[in-house]
Amino acid sequence: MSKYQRLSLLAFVLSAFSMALFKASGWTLAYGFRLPEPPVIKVVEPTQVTTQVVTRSKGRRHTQRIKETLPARGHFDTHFASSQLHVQTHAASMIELSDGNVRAFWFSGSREGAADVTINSAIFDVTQKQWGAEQVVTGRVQTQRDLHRYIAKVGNPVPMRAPDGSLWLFYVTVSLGGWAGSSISMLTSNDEGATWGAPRRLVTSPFINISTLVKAPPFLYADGTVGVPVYQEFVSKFAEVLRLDKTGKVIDKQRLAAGGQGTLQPVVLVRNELDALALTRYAGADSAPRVMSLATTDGGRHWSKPQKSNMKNPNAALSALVLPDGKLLAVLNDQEHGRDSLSLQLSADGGITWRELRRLEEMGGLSQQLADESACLEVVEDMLQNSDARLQALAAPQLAEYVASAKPLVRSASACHFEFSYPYLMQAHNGDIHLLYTWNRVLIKHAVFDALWLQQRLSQESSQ
Amino acid sequence: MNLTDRFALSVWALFGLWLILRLPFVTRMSVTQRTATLLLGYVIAMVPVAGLSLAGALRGMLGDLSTTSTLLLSAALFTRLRFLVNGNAAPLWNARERFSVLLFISVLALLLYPFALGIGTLDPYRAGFGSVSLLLMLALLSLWFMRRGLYLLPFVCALSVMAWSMRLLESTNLWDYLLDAPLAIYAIVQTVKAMLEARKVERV
Repeated sequence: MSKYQRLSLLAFVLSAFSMALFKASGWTLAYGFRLPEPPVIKVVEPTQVTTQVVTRSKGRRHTQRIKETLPARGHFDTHFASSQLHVQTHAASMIELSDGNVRAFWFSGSREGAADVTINSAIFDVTQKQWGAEQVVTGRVQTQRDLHRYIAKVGNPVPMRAPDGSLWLFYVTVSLGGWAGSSISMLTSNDEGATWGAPRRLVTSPFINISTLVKAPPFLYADGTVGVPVYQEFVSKFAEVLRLDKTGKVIDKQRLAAGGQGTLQPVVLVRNELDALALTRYAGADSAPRVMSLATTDGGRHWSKPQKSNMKNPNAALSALVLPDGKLLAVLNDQEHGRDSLSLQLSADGGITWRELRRLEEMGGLSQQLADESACLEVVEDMLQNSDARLQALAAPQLAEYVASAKPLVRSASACHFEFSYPYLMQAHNGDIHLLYTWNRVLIKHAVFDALWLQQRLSQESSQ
Repeated sequence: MNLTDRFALSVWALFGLWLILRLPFVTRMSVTQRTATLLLGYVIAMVPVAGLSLAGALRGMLGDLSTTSTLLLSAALFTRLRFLVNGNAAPLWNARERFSVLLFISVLALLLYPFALGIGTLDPYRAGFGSVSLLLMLALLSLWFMRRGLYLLPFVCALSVMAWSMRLLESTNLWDYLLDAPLAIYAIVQTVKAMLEARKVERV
């Protein structure tokens, strides 16, 4: 190399590094959380009821009006959010729209991981209290075309309200292998999810960008950047937080727990500007599996080592949220094996102890008792009707279609298998709490309850 | 299609062209035939059939290639073309330069992948999002190599760092500009091979 060439190379090296150092000097990460706007809970007044009492005295008819005050009653309703039959559905999530309605997302197809799986969405009209028709947001073929690379399957959609007010939808895409080969893609919508732009791939891992999955709702840092709780499960399983700037560009990735500790699907619960708790599914080898918990007290700069919580966990996803009064609400399979029950639990001491508020589903132990097929399908029919009032009004052939749709998943190996999994909680601005979960992998079930119901449930629990 | 996608697919197409040029029957072709074959190869690699191009299939399965891979692939393609045109088989870089880069990539891969994929709580990949320390280390390493009379590695580092500043690839992480999994595997195999050969020569 001549002296001139050496000098040219030196100039190139110095200018390249100067440019990069200038760019890196702007890479300062501020810690601290932005709290979500507290819900505006409408106080439900006691209902005044006037009843007419007709009495007869001395052959004359007297009408007496009696005014009665009935105590306000909380509401707890359930519906099915998905409506397509003879498909497998899983991994539901949701977001509140600007008009107060709720838009849900889930994946649906011939089976989990199949090439025909699509990300579907529907809107829950909070006034009419009913779900609209399903629409397809995206699928494997569309994602493949838009990302200009081979895509084998899609999964887990998670929406969020972006700092600029648009909707972002993160979802899992796999090009090679199983879910361990996942990476995250992101869609943007400027019309509340009616239409979506082309997806963008988030590069989050150095090894062929594989093994990053998303499940739980994102949160905001005080500087307006976005934290996305994610997890890896390729070589080892562990929880992480991705940090995106206001445009959705990845600017940081923070490991919450070391590999081998089995912390999957973290749910980050922001309690104040500096404190947050992360609860994770446990995928380790401990014979007494429990939800793992990690905490930060410095706005997410450092996280504690994962510790076993008091909640059982059968290697299944859980969901949780922070109530305006600081109490924590969680939905999970409160069992060490299987996913045939689902429990709504509350913690008033920051996640140290939990108590059950309601058993949302309970089919534990029924599996072997329902060896007879007709008995099993009868139970399924009852469950369907009890889950959604709309199904009670269905004609027999239509209801039979629902049962037939559930049969291949519920009925196998001369037993009746139930699964209630992948819960996703959200509190709307009016204080209502919405819950979505996988119902036997056939439908997505929705439960909604108001703050009053919760309050009454708490009082009942306290008095017991 | 945006520039990033076009670039990423083109690099995989370059890989395809390099493979074509290594086929024995291509060696026997005339310049016109060879040019036509290369053009056809590029079109086949880039044009989507049923929504997916051949380059897109490779991209999906093996990810985007790094700036270093792009440079080495371009150099290999150029050397092969030059050989086919005028018989000049001289490599662009001497063995020492080449070995320094392969060793560097191998060391980076061994430092990065095991930890990034879950060993311990330290994740070196995080530094690639904009750590000044990582950049300073690379800058000092580049200058040290230049002082030792090795110029390819400083060029590789500077090119990767510049591409990262300009965000030429889909990734926002510097590590993805420096190396990729196929390059890492190639580098480790070649480095081990070179070391074993060197030991053999020493014994003789």
